[in-house]
Amino acid sequence: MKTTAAVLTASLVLTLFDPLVAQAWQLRGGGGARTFVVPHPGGGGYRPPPPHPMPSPRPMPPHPAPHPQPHPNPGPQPHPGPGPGPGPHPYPMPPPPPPPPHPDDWYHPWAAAAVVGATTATILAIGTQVSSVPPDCVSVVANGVAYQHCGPTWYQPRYVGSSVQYIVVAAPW
Amino acid sequence: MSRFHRTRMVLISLLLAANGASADELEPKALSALEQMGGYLRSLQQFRIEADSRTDQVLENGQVIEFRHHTRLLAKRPDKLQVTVESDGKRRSLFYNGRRFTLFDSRSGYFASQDAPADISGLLDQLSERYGIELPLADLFRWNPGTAKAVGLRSALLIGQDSLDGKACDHYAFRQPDIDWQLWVRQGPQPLPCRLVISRRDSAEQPRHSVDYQWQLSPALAARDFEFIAPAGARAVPLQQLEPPGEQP
Repeated sequence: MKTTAAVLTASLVLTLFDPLVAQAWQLRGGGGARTFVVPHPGGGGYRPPPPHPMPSPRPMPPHPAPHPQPHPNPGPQPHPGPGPGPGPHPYPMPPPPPPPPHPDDWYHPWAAAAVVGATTATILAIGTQVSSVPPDCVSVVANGVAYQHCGPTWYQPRYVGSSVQYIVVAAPW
Repeated sequence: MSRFHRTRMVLISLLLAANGASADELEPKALSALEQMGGYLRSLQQFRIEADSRTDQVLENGQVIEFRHHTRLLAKRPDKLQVTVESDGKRRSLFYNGRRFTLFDSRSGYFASQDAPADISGLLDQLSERYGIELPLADLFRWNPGTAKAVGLRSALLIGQDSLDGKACDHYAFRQPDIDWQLWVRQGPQPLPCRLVISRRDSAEQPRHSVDYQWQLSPALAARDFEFIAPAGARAVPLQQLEPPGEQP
């Protein structure tokens, strides 16, 4: 009975905020309008790139790297050991460094955020940054830290600039 | 007849050349309008802006798509600020009460809170330099006599007049690297922006961002307008600092 209550609570937390629904269209990275005419004078956030007039691209989802470890059952069971740790197999390829925050993000449509991996079973390299997570992820707080738990993958949400980004981290338990 | 034709061609070429020259002109009237607006905006002690904007995004296939937002900005100098950008019932907000600032995203329910400098100006510097955050609608407040040169403004024209939302406004056109922009500024003793349109020239699709401003210069502001009260289910997350230059790989 207690388990049912816990599951119910988790679903409530999920439905409280709007989960992202996958869509057929994709925005072109860096293709949006510019929303300001005067860049901040001493700002570290945005410097107009002098040589080539393209703003820094939107965070593009890295291609999901295939994980060498078979995960036949990425169900709700807790992970044995500290996540996909340094076992006999190497980590997936490290992702490129996440792009810096973009000053136009206030007007970037939420719905346009790309979902990496159609299902929660997709395994991503630690450090990968995405702008949204699959809709079936579960919001979890472990040791006072907020996570999104998506099958074998754990994301830590954080603000990068004015928008929430999700960074793939090692499992907290 | 052929002589007349030739004369006409010469006249047309002269006209075209003249037009071409005048299109790259910095009209003093247009430049001073920007400076006066910037100075006036910085002199405001408190205000409320309700702004409706349309922002183009470009799909992978090159099609241009428009997104609409409503932005509310409440400010009380020296140390109170609230900004909310809303779209489809979801909000991104910043609250600043003079001691701390908080970012909140109602879609995810995550917020981030940090100690803040003692006034709005210090807050804007810290947001930009430490976190890479620029506030919406804040950039026109920075326009001062040195800005035209700093941003590389190379054309500034007075186009005419327009009545926007019942207000008489002067219509200006500006050109700087990568963008063309148009600004409508209220006529009279309160030179407030009425409307702003920015078009990117560095992209074949020329995506646009346009803003229509409504100003209240004597708004009813309460202390609670600037306090973040976490809604039920909201959770605190970290706010990432920019990597200091030189430490990036």
